[in-house]
Amino acid sequence: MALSRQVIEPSNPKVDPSRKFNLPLSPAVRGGDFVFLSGMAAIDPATGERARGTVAAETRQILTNMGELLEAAGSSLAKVVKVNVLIYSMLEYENMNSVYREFFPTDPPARTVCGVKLIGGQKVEIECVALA
Amino acid sequence: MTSEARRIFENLKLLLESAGSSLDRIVQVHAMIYDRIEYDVLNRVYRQYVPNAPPARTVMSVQIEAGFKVMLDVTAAV
Repeated sequence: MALSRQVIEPSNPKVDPSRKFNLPLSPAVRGGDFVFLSGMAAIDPATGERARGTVAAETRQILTNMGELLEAAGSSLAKVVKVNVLIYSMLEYENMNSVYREFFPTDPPARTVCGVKLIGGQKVEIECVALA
Repeated sequence: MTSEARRIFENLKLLLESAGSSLDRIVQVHAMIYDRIEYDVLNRVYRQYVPNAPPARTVMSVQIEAGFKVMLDVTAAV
């Protein structure tokens, strides 16, 4: 039996960078019992523009938008099983963690953090896999 | 970059099909490139192989082993 594969549209189209910047990606795809999210940069949900700021501010904006995108997919932050955090400098690790903890206070998901060069000049990018 | 990306997608197509899946059943891609200046070059090839309802994707610039310029880590539904 073939597993289902379905592209998820965000409830607020402004936070969909694939549309705004014409990128070959979907913000979220459901595959079987899981939802896979693209790496999210901090986007201001009111304007759709990049919300550049400190690592803490970007992390907060990303995880807020991520919660809404997951809900559009019938999931939620509480159902996240794996997170990958990409950060421009590992020196900022604790600044990211302090905000991250607020969003995943108990039984946090499995997680990997990498210091990498990010594409759009943002400081943080976060992606996740969640139960649908 | 273009030729490596094409070769990867051609091989990936064979690999996925032999596993009972296909390029249009991909749900998530991690694309690693050696320099973010090549982002648009990657996108041009990428679009040709996943033209509709593309998978969730994250692109990052990293050092890849053996001097390769691009590496894809892919999850697909069967």
